Amino acid sequence: MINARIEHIETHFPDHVLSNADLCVTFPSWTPEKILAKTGISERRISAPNETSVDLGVKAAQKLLMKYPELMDEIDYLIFCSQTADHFLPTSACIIQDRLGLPKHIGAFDINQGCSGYVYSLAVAKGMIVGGIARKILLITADTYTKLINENDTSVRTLFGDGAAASVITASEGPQGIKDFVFGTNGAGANQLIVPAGGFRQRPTKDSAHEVRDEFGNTRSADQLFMDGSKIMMFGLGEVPKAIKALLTKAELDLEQIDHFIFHQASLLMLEKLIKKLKIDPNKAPLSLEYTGNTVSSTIPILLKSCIDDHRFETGDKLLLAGFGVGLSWAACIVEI
Amino acid sequence: MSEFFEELSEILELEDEIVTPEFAFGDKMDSLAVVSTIVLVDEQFNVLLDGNELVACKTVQDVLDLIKSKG
Repeated sequence: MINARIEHIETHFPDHVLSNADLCVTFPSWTPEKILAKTGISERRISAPNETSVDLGVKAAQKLLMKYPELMDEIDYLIFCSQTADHFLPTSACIIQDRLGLPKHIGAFDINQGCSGYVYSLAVAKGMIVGGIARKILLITADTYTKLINENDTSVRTLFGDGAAASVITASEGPQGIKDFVFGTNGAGANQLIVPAGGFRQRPTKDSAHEVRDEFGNTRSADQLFMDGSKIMMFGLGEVPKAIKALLTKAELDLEQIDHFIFHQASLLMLEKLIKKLKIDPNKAPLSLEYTGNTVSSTIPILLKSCIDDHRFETGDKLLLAGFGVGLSWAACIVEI
Repeated sequence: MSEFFEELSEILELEDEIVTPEFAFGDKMDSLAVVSTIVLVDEQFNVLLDGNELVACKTVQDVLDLIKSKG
């Protein structure tokens, strides 16, 4: 039976580094050690003013194409997962097809999902491959949330960084590959992680650009990213364990049979509590946010790549991938190496 | 309960001081402390607090009363 598997992953980050020491200049009541202890992050990469998600994604994909030039002929579909597109229209994936010099006979489209986006994209890619629509899909995840963040907003500026990952999802035979999925959606929490203005519900105006200080002393405008940290934490601790349980039931697996938990790298606090709540061995839940921060839909492929580079996975290992956040949206799947 | 007081003191970054029910938060309950306290309460009491309700608490006793009302 035909299945789909993740064949390659490459990543790319912008050059500029924002360190905890840099942040403490703006937030004098914090120390670099405290930021690291709470977030697990010591540095984030920040895109240049004229550098977009498409630019980052193209660079990540170019690394793949340089390493495996045969992909130029083999890729027959391009998926770009991002929430910070170059334009409202056209579709960013179309621009990327041209920038990469990929042939004109390929399909290309965007997926607008954030923290759950990589798992969602794997589901779409698998469905297309198993359905005989595509055989080798270039999946690019990229975001530049930092462009949406107010300089004086600790709640998000400490967490998010910019970055991109390019993965190749390919048709495969045999037991390995991308297995079962579960999904979840709660749009009632849409306003808990949101950029209120800028779209068509609220156009960007002089009013929407007006900065307001909240009860914790953080400043932002309606054009910028807002996160209700406590609600997002409650959401993560409430829904993710339930989703994981449902996935394990569906896949007929026990928690102990999972070799590696590849979680969306939201923040150290969130991950530590999730690991504790699920009662899993912390050694089975690797981290990769210290030098990149939370890069939204790219955290999972970035973590996968760092595990591959560290030779952490062995053939036959079972991975549980889980993404959760903005939407509110969550998705989890099993991948066998 | 002493473990709750100790961990809450750590969240509030109190040096050599353990909170009592009478302890008033003042400006110590910043956004990160709110998130950390919600997690602590979930772990120790299996109760998920609402951030806005927690921000409205002036003392540790207010938090204990809030937990009790939801427990």
